[in-house]
Amino acid sequence: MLSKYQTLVWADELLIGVPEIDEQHHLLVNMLSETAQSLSVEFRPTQLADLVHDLMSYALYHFETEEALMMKNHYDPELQAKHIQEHRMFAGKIADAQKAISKGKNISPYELLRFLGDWLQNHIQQTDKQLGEFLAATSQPNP
Amino acid sequence: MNKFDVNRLSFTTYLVLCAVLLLSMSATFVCYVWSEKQIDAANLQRYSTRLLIDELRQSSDDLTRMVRSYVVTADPDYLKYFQDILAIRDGKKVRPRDYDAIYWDFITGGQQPTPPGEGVLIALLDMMQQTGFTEQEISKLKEAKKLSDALTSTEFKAMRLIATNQNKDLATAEEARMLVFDDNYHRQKAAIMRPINDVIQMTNARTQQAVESAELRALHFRYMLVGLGLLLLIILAYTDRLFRRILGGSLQQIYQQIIHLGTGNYVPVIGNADNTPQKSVMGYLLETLRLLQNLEEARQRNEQSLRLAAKVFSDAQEGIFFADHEGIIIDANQAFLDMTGFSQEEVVGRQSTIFDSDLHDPAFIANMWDAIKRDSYWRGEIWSRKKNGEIFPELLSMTPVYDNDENLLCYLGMLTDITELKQHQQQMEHIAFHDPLTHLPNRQLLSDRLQRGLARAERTRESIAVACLDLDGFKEVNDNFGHGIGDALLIEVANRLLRCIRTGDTVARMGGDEFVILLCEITSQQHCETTLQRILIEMATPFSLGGDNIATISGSIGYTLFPEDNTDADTLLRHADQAMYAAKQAGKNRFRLFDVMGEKRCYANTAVISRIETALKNQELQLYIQPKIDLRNGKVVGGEALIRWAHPVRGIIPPDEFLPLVEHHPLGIAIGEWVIGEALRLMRLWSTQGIILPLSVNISIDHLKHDNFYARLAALLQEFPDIPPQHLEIELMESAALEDIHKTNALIHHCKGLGLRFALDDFGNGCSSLTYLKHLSVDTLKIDRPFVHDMLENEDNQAIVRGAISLAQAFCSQSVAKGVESWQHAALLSKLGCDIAQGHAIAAPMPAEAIPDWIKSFTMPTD
Repeated sequence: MLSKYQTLVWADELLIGVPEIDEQHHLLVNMLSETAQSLSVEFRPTQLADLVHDLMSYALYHFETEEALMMKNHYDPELQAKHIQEHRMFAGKIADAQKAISKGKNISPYELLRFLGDWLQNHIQQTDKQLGEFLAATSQPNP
Repeated sequence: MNKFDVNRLSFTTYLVLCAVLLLSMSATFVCYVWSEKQIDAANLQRYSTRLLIDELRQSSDDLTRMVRSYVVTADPDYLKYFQDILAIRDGKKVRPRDYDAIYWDFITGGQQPTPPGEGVLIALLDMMQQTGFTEQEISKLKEAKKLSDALTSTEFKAMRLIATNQNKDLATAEEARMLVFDDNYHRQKAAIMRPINDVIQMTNARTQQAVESAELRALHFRYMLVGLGLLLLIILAYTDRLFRRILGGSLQQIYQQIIHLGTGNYVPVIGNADNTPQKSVMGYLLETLRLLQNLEEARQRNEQSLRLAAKVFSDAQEGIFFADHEGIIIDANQAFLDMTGFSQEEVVGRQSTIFDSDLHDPAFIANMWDAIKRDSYWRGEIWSRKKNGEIFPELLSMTPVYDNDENLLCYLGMLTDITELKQHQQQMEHIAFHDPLTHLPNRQLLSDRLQRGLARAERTRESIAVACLDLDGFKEVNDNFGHGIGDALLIEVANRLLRCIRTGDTVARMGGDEFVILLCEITSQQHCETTLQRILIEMATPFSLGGDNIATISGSIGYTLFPEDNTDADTLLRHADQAMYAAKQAGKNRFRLFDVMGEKRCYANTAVISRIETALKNQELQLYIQPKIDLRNGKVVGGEALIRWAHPVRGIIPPDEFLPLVEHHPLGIAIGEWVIGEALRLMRLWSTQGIILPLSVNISIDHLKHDNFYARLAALLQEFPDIPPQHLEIELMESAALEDIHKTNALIHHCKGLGLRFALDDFGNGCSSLTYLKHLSVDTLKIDRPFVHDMLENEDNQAIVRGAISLAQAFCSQSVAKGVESWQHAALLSKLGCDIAQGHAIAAPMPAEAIPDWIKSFTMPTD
């Protein structure tokens, strides 16, 4: 599965120990890797548009899951604020990309994929893992 | 009962009374008879007394006669007679029998009076004494005797004269004769008679009195007897009455009743309980009859139910047996014997284990007995052994039978041979779960196997492949060769498929030319694909279908793997089916793995759409307002309504993070309508507070082009008749509006008929040409933010802004500058001729509630 687009590929070190979130992460990561793979075969603008659309959809879906868990389990407010800030940043970035694509602007798939991959890896391995550890420590981590 | 006892007691008393009376009567009768006898005795004494007296007189007379006869005749016989009479009277000679006759009669009879040795030797006086003469009478008699003796001496004298007169001297004879014929003699004789007559009178009186007193006594006894008799009669009458009362009917009736009862008929012949005294023999008899009748009826009923039960037992089609607490057969009916092949003698007394098939494990049997003891009932299917060893299924129900004291009597077992039923069931099951043409499992059986396979896979952590096979070109075979050949092909396909799979795998026919293959214990995707590849090769190998009929087809397979595709059985089948279509579309004769991630992504998209729909429904969407001001006078001239999602978890979400998701979805149109309605509502709300603030709303080109747009818009405007339509402005994205400019313009034109305004948003991006702009009858051009933002530094952007303002002026439109971030921008725009400005320098978008206060407090800086 060699790809000229370097992006995140699902691996077990991305697991944070909350099955529901892990499955969504898996999906998000797969979205990236699949798009990267298909882009390396043939570039079509719709591929990026589809990816951005799915990511936007998934961001809404996935961030709600995480943020609801934080609220429900009374996550540390500072960490929560930082975590939500990262979500906002990502959502804004996706919205910008979407807007750009819808306006017919050319955006670099390489850069987009790298950004998304970096963000996901960083976010999952740092921020989400922190949340995962917290949830595992609380009595009802998985509602 | 009590009363009855009293009656019984008094009845006994009466009986005793009767007995006493009877005894008394008997005693009285005895006394009476005795008293009668006393009368007779008195009379007899009277008679005897008279006879004795008569005898005395008679003997005296006889003596006189004898003496006179002797005197006259001198016949010594008369002397002898005379002496005899004397001897008899003095008890010196035996008295002849019947000595009451005149002695003369004896003589004349020519008989010897009193033969010696007969009669008694007793003096007359002694006899008289014995006969009960009183002392007084005896003394009188003695007196008479004495007188008589005196006379006798005279007579002796006379007789001696005669006796001594041997020569028959007449004088002597005369003397002697005179002695006994003279007056003296007669006087003497009469003197004797005097005391005798006295005695006669005395005895007469005495015996008469005795008779009378005896008669009186007898009369008393008679009266007494009669009295007692009457009393007895009365008592008997009372007794009878009491007896009848105790009986409660006549003896005859009772007798009849009992005789009747004896025949076994318990219906009363006479009398009924109503008019018969309850506490009487008859009453009790009737009561007894009634009880007997009831008992009889109960008995008959019992007998009938017993007969029925026996009939059921003997004639039932179900086998019935009784076993004791140790399981030993007590009895079994014919059906049971027929069923098991044993004879009555072979089963009775044997352990019921002789029927055990040994097919059930001991726990099953133990459970059965537990259930029988616990629930008093067990019913189930069980395998049994016949006498010939054949094993057959039976439906058995076991019930313990208890007596009234809850003691176990026996166990009742009823069984039905369900061999045929089972066979039929198996046939039915085969029909129900198999495809009639290929005999492959059908959809239901597949579903069942899939469920079980999934359960096992979850345990063993192995994979299962669910593959959908659809034949390519099967329709052509059917069309070219006919359905018969088509069916033959399907059968052959089934056979080939079965060759490709292992035991434990399943091939099912879903109908038509569609098959499902279930591959269990998959070790790798490679392993699975090897099998699928083999199937494809088998399908692509030409089919020889009899004669020259050779069919060439191929197969398209879609498959999915569990637990990689971690979902339920139905969804797995659907996924395999989807993949199969993908295989078909990719050119047939191939297999495709279901895209699990794609499906999940699709699911997430659907879920998000429905989440946004919920947001709309739950009023989580809000309009934020960004004011627009007239740069010439600083007046607030309107506002742009911007949608926000007040997400309960994620807070305020800007529109560009969710609206693109519903862009081409009906939900986007619903949201657009909501925005128009909400803007109108806000305008009405403010107008009640004296604030007139025209609003512009962002509407997608899709929404504008929607068939219902005009009608819905008109309806909404009608709902708010107090809002002037020109206060509502619809902003369209320039880029989108230009895509199909003629149609867009037609729609704008149409809608403007309702009185509202149109604006072209983000103007400057869309490479608008004058020509294009000419065709769009918009009222406002909104200059895009980046141009305005950079215009102070960037000459090009300033040129674009200037151009846009000029264009607006040229087409008699208003120009609105967006992104006014400082008053320097505002000043320049004003200088360039742009009248209306919108941007953070003036105000950021704010919640609608904040607008009235903001308007009141807003003043444009003068410099």
